Amino acid sequence: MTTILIVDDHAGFRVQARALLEADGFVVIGEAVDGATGLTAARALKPDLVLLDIGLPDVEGFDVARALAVDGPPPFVVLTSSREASAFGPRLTTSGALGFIPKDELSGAAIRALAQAS
Amino acid sequence: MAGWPGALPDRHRRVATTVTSTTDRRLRQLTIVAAPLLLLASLAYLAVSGASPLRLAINGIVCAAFLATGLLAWARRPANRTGRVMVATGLFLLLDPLQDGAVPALAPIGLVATTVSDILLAYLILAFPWGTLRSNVHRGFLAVSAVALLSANLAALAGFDPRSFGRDYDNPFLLIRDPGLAEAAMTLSRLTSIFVLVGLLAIFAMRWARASGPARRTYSPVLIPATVLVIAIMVSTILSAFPVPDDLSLVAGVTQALARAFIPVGFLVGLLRTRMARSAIADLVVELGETPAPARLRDALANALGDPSLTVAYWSPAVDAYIAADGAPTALPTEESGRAVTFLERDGQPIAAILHDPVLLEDPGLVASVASAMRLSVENERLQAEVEAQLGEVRESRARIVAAGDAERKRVERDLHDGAQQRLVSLTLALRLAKLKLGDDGDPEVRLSLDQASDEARSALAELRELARGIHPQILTEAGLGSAIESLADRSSVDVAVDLATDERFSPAVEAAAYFVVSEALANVAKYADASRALVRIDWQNDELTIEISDDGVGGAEPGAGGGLRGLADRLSVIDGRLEIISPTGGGTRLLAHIPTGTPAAMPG
Repeated sequence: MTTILIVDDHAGFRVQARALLEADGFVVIGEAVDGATGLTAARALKPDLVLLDIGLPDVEGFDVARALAVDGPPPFVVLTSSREASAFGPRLTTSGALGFIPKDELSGAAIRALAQAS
Repeated sequence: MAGWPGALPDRHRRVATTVTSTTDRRLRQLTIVAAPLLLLASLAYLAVSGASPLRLAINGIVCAAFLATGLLAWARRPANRTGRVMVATGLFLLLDPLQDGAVPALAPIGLVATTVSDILLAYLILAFPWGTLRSNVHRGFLAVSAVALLSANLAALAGFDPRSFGRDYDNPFLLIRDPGLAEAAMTLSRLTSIFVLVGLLAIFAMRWARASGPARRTYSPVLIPATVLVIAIMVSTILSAFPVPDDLSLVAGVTQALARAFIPVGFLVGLLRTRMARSAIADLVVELGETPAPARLRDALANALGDPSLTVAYWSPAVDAYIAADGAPTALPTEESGRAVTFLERDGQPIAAILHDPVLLEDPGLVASVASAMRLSVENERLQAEVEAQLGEVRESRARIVAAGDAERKRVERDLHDGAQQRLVSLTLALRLAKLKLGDDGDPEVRLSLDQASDEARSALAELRELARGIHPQILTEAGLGSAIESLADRSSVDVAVDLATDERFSPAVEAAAYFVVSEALANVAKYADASRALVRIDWQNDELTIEISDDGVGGAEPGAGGGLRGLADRLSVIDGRLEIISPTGGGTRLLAHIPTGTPAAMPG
């Protein structure tokens, strides 16, 4: 069972992502609407994996990913965005996240593929 | 010149006026005839009174110098009082022999005349080169000195007993019999002279200290002999109080006379210099021809007039003000600033203004003659200056337009992203969920429909993303020029190598221009060049960004064919960049873009 925390300010995406991932065998244990609440939730709920939007209203997803790595064994972080990977270039590889999945390619299989590759 | 913007009051402007009243001319002609006769009469009286040949010669030279120079100055510069005052000085000097001559009764006339001629001489020196006193301090000083000197000298005369000096005649005006009082009167006279002389020296020193370079050049031919004269008179006055050998008195006397004679010479030097300046102007006209470069005109004018501080400003009807040669607005000097202006006009319309040292106005014809000779050249310069000013405005407005375009594109990209792209993402996810819910044992036709729908959605999203990238590439904002270029290289159908010598970030306008140059160039390579490899090289040296895109294709690219390169060149020129194309037929193509990254000429905020 892999537990997931979804951090995204877009309510419609959170609903769809939860439905998609739960139908594929994941357990979504929490949702957060911005970076600050996302960090608090991650520390409190200790999920196995965080699905993290890059374009958050208060801070960039990259900064949240770095903050998550600071305290304790960090969860796996998967960055996501409505934009494709080439819009961010080298920033993705230096982020320290497990990987990046554009929102339109989100699926349980994509996440598992990333996890196995690490 | 009322009604002209920025016109100065007349105190700082002189318009050439010629006093041609007939009385003045007649008077001058009369003096020309009378002066030599009066000079001869004066010398004859001296001779009859038993003066030495040396004294005859000296008196003759000094008086002749004043009279001749005065008449010349009167004829040349009728508007300037100097000529007439100099003639008057000479005439009064002619009466000097009366002081101790054959007829003692005439002595007071001689004394008064000599004192008056000295006051007039002081006036001449202080008023040089204008011909009038320009300061109330000077006027006051001269008035007080005149009264003091006259009274003191007359008092000395009243106490002068020639018999006590071994002379063989009486002073009919001897009023003070007491030798003590007489001596005191004499001393008072000497002290008054010394005080006046010291005051003059102080005024000379202040004038010299305050004068500009050109002003000093003008003053020196007169101020130098004047200073020598004042000091010589001081020495003579002091010596006269003590018994001194005759030789010493003689030397002092001759020095005085020579110094006095050199003052008219100083005036002549001044006149001569103006003549030379005018002929220098004539040479100038020939040398410059009709269309000199702006800096040459200013330099040549400054040289010819001897005023290095001279500047030229041109009238611009567009901004309703005077502007410098580079288009920048120029303020006209105020009364206190110690600068003067001469306005140039044509047919009543202002063309330009020459800002110069006020001392040049002493010769009213000088600057005006320069101006009229230069009118055509100045008109050309004025037009050039105006064009520069307008060009400046055009550049700024172009830059504003380009910036507005960039901002608009960013907005459109943002709208596409927030709107249509989000919807397609959501659609894709919904279709995926539907397929998942369908399961492996669902209706295969439904599964097929869902797959087709997903493919359409994916294509639509890809096309939208491609479109957005063409409008404004987000990676440029996110990760800078290097990453954006690499991403362009990846997407190109040709094999593109990227060589980046810098990972510096630049202003958005510069980065956008550089990106689109590479984008357009690579697109051209893919479409026309038939090349197998291409290289993009980016270098940044001395505040200039150089972007080179080269390929091994067929070459023959021209800026005219295909609007893309023309548009790039235009875009670059707005930020003061330029485009170079080296494309020999059959020999590959090299495109070079140079973009300055320093303080920009016209980059709106």
